[in-house]
Amino acid sequence: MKDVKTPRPAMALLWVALGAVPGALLRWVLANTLIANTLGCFVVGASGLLDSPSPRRTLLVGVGFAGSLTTFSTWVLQLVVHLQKGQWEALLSQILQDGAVGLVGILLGATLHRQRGRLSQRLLKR
Amino acid sequence: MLKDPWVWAGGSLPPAVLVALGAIPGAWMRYVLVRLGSTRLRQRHWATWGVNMLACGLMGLLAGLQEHLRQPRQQSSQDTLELALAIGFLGSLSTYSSLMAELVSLWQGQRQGHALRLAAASLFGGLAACLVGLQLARSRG
Repeated sequence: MKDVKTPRPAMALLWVALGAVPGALLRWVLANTLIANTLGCFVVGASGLLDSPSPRRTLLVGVGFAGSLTTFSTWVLQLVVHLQKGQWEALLSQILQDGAVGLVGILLGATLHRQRGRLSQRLLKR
Repeated sequence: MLKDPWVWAGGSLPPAVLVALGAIPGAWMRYVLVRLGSTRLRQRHWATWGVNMLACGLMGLLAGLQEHLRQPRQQSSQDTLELALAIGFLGSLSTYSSLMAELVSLWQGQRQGHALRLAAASLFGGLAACLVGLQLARSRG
């Protein structure tokens, strides 16, 4: 059953926190910004957040889990380190590679999500 | 390199607890600021952008501050800062997945120019904010 109601503010904060803690812990355990960011992008696509998700799923998975699993500030700090050391190739490859991999992750996730939706619709029709 | 969240090297609290304690207010602050910003700006992606810029500036400030703490006797306070503030709070305050989702939505909604502007503003704005934070911390040190 789909929950379409917007949760009350206190509940919204609870859902965000419930997603944020495992997301941040996973990022820390992985200790790799590229893997954490790509995984987070894939989760956003695969959980249907690009389509029309329920408010609760958006809060728990999108804002909480994937939002905390991924990080922009650490990613930029790594770029700044390359910049200050004059490592231009590393700087450029991080921007292009990480950007592309993130996009592939989210689009792949979204494709899988839509195919699963179509498959279950077909099964329901039988 | 994988880290074991349950190995406690000393300090005030177990590392996993420090990360979690930073992550909750970070995610809450992002949620609240994006909500408030979305109604003011009417465009959610610029609200997310603003929060990411704030996190990048603070990350630069913290990185500059940490350069002063690189003495052995201050190792534990450096670890606490790193775990609770850099990894927990700022890591959760900023988001890469929402930025990517917004870029994809703009692109698929036939607003490619907007998507390119957002990508450029995120990249260059983030670098500028981080560098400003870093210089500020170094000049005060």
